[in-house]
Amino acid sequence: MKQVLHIFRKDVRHFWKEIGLWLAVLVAFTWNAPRSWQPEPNYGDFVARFIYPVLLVLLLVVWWFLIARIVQDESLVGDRQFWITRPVEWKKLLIAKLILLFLFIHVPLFISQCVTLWRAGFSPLMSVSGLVWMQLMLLATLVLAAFALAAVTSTIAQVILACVAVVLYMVGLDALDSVVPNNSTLVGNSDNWQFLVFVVACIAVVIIQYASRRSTVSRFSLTAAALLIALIDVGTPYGKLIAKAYPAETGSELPVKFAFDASQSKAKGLGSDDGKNVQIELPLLISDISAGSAIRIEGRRVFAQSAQGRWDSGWRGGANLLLPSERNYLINFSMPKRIYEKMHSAPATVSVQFAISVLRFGKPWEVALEQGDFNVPRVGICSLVSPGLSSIRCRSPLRKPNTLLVTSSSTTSTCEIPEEQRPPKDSIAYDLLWRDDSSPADSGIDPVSDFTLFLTYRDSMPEPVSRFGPRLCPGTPITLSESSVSGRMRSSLSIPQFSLDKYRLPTSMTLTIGVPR
Amino acid sequence: MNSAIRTHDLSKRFRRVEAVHGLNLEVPEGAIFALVGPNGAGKTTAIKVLMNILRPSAGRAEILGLDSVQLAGRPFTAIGYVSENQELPGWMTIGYFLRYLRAFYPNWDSGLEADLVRQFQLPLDRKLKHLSRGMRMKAALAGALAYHPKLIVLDEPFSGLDPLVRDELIESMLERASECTILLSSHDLAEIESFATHVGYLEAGRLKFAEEMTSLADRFREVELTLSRPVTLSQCWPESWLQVDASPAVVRFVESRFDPEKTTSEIQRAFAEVRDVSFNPMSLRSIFLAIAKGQREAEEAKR
Repeated sequence: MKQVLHIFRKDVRHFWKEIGLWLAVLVAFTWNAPRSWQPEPNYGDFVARFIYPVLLVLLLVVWWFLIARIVQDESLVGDRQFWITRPVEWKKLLIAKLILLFLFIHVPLFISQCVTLWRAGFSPLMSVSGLVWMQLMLLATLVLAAFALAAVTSTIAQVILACVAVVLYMVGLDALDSVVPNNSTLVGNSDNWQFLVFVVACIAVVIIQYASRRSTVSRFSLTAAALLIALIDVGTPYGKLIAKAYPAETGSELPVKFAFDASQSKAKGLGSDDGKNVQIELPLLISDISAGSAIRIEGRRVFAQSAQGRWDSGWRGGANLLLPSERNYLINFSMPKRIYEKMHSAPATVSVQFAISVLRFGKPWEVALEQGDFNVPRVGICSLVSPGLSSIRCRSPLRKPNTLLVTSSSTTSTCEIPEEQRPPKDSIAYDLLWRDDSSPADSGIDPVSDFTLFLTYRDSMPEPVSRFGPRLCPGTPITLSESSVSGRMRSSLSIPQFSLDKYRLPTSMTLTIGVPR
Repeated sequence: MNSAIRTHDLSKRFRRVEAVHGLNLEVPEGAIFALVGPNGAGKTTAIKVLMNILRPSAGRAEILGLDSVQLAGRPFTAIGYVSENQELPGWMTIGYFLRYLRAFYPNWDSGLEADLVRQFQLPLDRKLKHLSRGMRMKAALAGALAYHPKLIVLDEPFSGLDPLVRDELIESMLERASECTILLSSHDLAEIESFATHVGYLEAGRLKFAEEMTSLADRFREVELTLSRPVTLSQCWPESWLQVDASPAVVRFVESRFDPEKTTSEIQRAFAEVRDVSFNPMSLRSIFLAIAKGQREAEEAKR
């Protein structure tokens, strides 16, 4: 322990300026954070909102810089470091570095988060486990990654180059995601494996470097881990996992029924043209969503088959919510132009599979909106963005609340609305806050989750009602209900004799120059 | 006598380059062993492998009875290593550098530290990065001597230093030589000649020989023969004769296995009418030049 403290004291003495810089940025971030929550920002608050991401990036940069400097003070790469021929025990050296990171990064960050929570109107004591969770997530991601990179490099310039390589890799991984046949967002299994590979690789590299300074082995391990993560992305049998996570619907009581809306004889919307794909619109009718529940479309897969060929879109993610009152549902999908050119002349059989989550809403509760901040049970503290508009700005401790349906009836609005802007009686405006995990906190640095509820009418409204949207004023009651996922399944729909040609979305270009399709 | 350092077929390869090849070396306890050789001979690599800074590609080494690959942490309380290209923590002052090191060594001798600081005239408040090369070496040496190490390993410690600093460092090192073993590398033969007890010659990664300085000096002689009449060299002389050269009536060579009686009788067998013979002791530098040239000639003859 004596050696640990000795190295620790040396590092504090050496890096007091870097630590001071980090603490200064952290204090600035902590001081600035509450100003970005203001629902009706003045000029200063606008500046604060602009500064917020700048400070966040600066915080991360200084943080990484500090970790890199601390690790590289006893460089683990090269053969000229004086400390490697001194009686410095690697475990004690590593512990000294970890203590430094704990005391000068995690503890100040924890204090900053407590202060931020307190300033947001929440009790830090009630959020300790969530804060610890946030710290662990930061440790397992940012700190570990910075530590591992610093352990296989010997200068800050090398760390920067390594970071650039990591960013390029992530861009590549993102691009890879878009070409993988089935979308990984529908099932989280691969993400968990990828995270595990990342954490294990980083820990292994840190231990290898401190125990034996085998930089080539460590760099190879990191590269192998990066490749493995990409391989998991490509090689995961998403189709099978989705089929398992969303079993085909069985039984007579289906949570929702889909049918083709034959009354709509052609596409109504407007598409975009990227030269490679055409967009097809599919008008559907929905029914049988029981009261007190909702359907969330997590993803869909479209098959088209005609005498000229067949096409499978693969699973594509994308969330849509269907409420019991819904009757129409419009989807559009992209089809490669070359396949469209091959198939569009003859009617095709189009089949759509939906991966759906069935939501059951719990007992609703009502809150009357107030001027200024007001408490919303199970959500946090909210305020009207501006009386007469449709937005409510809320902040919650640690994380966004669980899936929450917020509704407001036009009948109970306390706003003074001119006759021509008034919506039909009992028009329901709503917003759904989606959250389907049980983690105790969001990942990130800021312990206050800041979000806006933007209520809209589901049904189309005539002008000028649609322009103004629902009106919220002090005294207007809103109804909130939490939901939970009661089941997941796949629902299918088959449309014979579907004309791809008729339902192709016109692009703005074709409309402007009037070229007939 | 026990060995402080012992290697068995130690090799270090960097991809295609074999920097050290099959090194078999023994450094007896209490010796001042000079590992010499031209630049690029593999001296620094060999020392780095011994100090476990680099891992051997083949073979093994024992340092103070411990396998070199296990050399880390605590065993370094008995080893002092100073290298010309070692990166010292430049941000530390000399005073803090010595204070920082002190805590790692149970045997740290504060009195000796003070003596070394005084002897080397080290400015304690100056940062290491602001020191001259000579001063930095002195600081490094002070930090490697103050805990009475059993083994001191010095890699080209005097290279590029002015003679005064070099003498100061040698003097302080010799003052501690009785209590430890010293291994040092150098490409300057003259600087180690005065104090090394053993010498090993490394060339192109291979150890050409290693022996005690006294035996080396004893077995090498520069021989000059004056003959009664000019002769033509017949190439028939013992293998131990190196660099044989003849002007009309004078023959010169280096005898590498000098023994007064044996050498005299070999001379008499090779040359019939010898008028005068002189056997002159050689400097280390002359010995090494003779060896190097002799090997070159032997290699050319093979081709």
